[in-house]
Amino acid sequence: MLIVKDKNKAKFLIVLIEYVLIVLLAKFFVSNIKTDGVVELAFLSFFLFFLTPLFTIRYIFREKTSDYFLCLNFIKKGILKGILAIAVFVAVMWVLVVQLDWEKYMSVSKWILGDKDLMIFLEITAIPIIVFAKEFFFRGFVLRSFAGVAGVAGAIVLQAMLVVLCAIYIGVFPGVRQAILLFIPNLFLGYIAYVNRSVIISSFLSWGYILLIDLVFAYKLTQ
Amino acid sequence: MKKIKKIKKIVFAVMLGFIITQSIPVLALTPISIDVGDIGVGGLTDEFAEELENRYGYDRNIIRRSKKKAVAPTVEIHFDKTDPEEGEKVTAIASVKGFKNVTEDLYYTWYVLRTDSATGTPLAGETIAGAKERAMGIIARGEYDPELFGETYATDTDNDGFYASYGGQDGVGAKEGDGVGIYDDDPAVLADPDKQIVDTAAITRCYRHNFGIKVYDPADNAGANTRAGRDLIIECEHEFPSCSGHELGDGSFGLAEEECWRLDPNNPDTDGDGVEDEADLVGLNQNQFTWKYLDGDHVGVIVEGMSLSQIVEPGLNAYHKIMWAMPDICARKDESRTFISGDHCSPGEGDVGFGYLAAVPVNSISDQQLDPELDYIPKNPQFDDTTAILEEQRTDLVTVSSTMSNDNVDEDFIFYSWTIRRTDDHLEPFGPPLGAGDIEFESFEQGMGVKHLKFKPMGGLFGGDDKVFLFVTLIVSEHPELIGGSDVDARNLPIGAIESIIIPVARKDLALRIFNTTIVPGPGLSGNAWAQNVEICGAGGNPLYRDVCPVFGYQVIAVEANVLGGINAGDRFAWQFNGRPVQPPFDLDAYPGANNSNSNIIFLPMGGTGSSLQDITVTYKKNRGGVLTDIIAGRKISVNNPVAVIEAITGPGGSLSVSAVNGGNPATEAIPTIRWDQTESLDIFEADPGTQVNFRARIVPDYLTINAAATLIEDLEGDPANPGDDIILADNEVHLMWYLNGSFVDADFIADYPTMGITVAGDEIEFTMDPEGMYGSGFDLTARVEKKFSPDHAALLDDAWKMLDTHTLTNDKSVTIRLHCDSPFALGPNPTLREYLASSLANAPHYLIFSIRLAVAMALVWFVLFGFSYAIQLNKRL
Repeated sequence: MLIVKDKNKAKFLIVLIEYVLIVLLAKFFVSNIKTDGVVELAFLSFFLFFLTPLFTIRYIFREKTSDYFLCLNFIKKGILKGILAIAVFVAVMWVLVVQLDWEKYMSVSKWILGDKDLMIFLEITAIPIIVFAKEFFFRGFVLRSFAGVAGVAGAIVLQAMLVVLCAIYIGVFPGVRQAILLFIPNLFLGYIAYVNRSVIISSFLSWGYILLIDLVFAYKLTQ
Repeated sequence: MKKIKKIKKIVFAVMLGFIITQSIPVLALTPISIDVGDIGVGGLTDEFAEELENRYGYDRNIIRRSKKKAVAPTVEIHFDKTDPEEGEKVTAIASVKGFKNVTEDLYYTWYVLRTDSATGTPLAGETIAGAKERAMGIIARGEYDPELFGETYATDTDNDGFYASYGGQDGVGAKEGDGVGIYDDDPAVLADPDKQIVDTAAITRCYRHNFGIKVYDPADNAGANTRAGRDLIIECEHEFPSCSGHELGDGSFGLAEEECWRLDPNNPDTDGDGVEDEADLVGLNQNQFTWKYLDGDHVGVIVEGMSLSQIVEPGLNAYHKIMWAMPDICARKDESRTFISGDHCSPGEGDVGFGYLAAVPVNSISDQQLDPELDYIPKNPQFDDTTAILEEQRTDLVTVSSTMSNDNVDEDFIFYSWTIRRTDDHLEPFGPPLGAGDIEFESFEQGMGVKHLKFKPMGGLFGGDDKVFLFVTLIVSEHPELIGGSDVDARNLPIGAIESIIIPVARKDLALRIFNTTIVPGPGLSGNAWAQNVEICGAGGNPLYRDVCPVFGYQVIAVEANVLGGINAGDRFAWQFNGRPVQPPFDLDAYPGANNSNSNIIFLPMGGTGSSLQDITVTYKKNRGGVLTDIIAGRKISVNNPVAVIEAITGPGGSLSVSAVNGGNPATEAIPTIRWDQTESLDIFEADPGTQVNFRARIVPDYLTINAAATLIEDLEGDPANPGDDIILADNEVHLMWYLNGSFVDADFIADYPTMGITVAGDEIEFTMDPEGMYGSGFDLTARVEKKFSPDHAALLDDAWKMLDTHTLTNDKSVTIRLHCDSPFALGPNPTLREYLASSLANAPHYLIFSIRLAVAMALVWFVLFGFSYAIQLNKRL
């Protein structure tokens, strides 16, 4: 699948409007969550970040979802690039977290201090849904739509920025360092999704990253 | 038609014949014979004329003289805009009177003077000649611009000259005369003074009318009064403008003049108004002048024509005098006009009394005398001196308001200065302006836009008087420096104004006190009578009740007019209830000494139902030494059924039994919930399960008490203590009943639910928030207040006012006490997986609703995106 530069900004505008609407709604629903919020977040992610762009692709753009990296087939050549990207990512994160001691700015799930069974349960049930919906929206829908106008590199940077903006608006990451620690993984995930033309790969990686961070922190906190 | 004419002729002939034939016999039969030959018809006529002249002043020249006394020509200027913006087009309109010519034949010479807008002084270099040239050029040119049309003034082909005869287009023409400077009724210029025939050699046919002077000035005009109303012979000279020495009105209008006036040399009517160029410049038929206004512009006009007054030259028929109408009369006293050199108003040159070239300011506001009108509310203000009676100060706030009757006056930019002084005779104020101790001002006394003065009269104002008159004076002006009384500004323009109003203020030494009543044995029909009981809504009581006194249906209240210093013989009271005179009761014996036409106490029954605000008013005619002063006092009452307001008791000592149960600790109070506006709810409380809550019923009106013995009894008909008897409530008692979730709390109920620990005593109820108890999630607590009236009360109401149907008054008030517990959605701080799953299952409905809301939100997003994609024709572009 070749991404052709498209000067038509209509699609870009629609995706941008959809992003704004979804972020506004997400903020609204998150502020009205009454329970611990995990289940609601899963619902919210599924509806807003997965179903909404799916509908847009099918009935407004009238295109195939596979064009937006929602497919199991991925480019084999991308695996090598993906591994290289992961290596670079690990190096960068090592510098930030270990060398610069930004560990305390890392984001972890709130249930890691609680019951271990519950943590495992949530990590394998709710988190995958949330991660997959997010990956499809940002790494598939947004990245692919922006790539036509902003170019691939621009689209990768833009989608990572939009993730950070969304998090800041909803109020998850109040500081600059937290934003940077969020931006960098999303940048690499965007690149990996692009080189493999699949959000499945990036979803697994994203989920694995969250799981790893939660487990490490849970382990460290319980020692 | 011919037949009718013929008949008319016949009738006329018969009547003529009848008169002739009948007059001869009358003369013949007259006892005194008349010798027609001696007297002659001519002699008879002369005698008759002489008699007329002697008796009535008519002589043979009366007609000739009367024609000389016609109204002299005058002109007034009006503007279509009185407050124009700079650059805005303004039209000046000249209204003339006293001309024989029609408008189309008159010469209107306009001039527009540029002046300093602040002072009205003509700018440097301004002259009347220049002002005329400016205005008449605009009239002739219109919007024509020679530069715009590339006019080089090489040729003149339009032949637009105009010869202006003196006295207007249809004028009689002028001539030279040696009588210039002499009034036309002077014998020196009259050929026949009796017949007022002028000397042809003396007159010029041009005159200047002397209108007289407004103010006699002996230094300048010793004989001015003798000249008023006469016409001075002057040299005939048009008032037309000129341009670079080119005279107008000579019939020659060549290329040089066209260029000088910047007109179109190839168009005879440059401005296209139907009047050719030179005629335009002499002002023929130009009774309007439109120009672009500049701040400070003053405008004038001279109108040349023939007056209505006539002159007669020997051998000629009478003709009309040539005159010039000007905007004003020279007196050097009218400061609203602009004076400038060459305006024909130089007192030293004998111009006083004659018209002159006044220039009128366009902005009429500066020329307009402000005209404020004052009014005040309330109409009968009073100072309340009855604080000692009601502990309330109810002095009226007096508001004096000014409104300008002038149009186009922005009151927000007018400066106001208010002063209050005393007055006795209603004509003149006296004493210094009133201040602290006499008046308490509630607004500024002066400043820009202070068109309302608010104040309260104080006790010091009155001394020993019951009534004083305040003389409120308002000075208004357009400039703050004028505050202080001057009515002229820096331009010597009269722009200030003074207005005053007299306000009578009475000292109210009368207050109404409201009392509850009781029934005592008396001479009424039922053997009872109302008697004044304790005061309600008065000093020492609930302060809120002083404004509006709460009463209830079928209650009888006594209202007493209390006068400081006591009531004198001759004082009178007129009572009104809701604006209607209070009627005496049917049974006068029920109210000894009250409810007659001049009593300071009345008894009033309240209506049985309804919830309304009602007024009791008394007008007190205070008689002190024959001087009557009207004093008005009133109270407001609110008629409602008695009600119990339920309040949660907080803190130690508030509960009935908890303090003992908890070892003296305060009860766990019911906490008011927070409403949407972040205020505490008055009717929804929360309390933790298992805690005891305590509520009190506060009775409104608070002068009523609870019959404590009847609190656990629902039906008062049948006293449990005395079977067969009813429980009779006293006049000031009510029956309080508690209900929990709709069930009456009596002894049986308390016994049925021992775990709730219900205690009822006095005005309080206490119980436990028992989660396992009878209702689970909370309680609705209702306090019912019942007011039953005694048979004596009902009978006396019937006797006195024929109020037959005395109902029992009932009112319920409820609160809800919810069990306070954590949200069922919430999990503990460290839930286990099992608890989490249980919570998720329990919250399934919530998740369902959450999902539905998400779906609806998603649909909205799709709707917006669809609309947008259609709007931008997305698929066509794709």
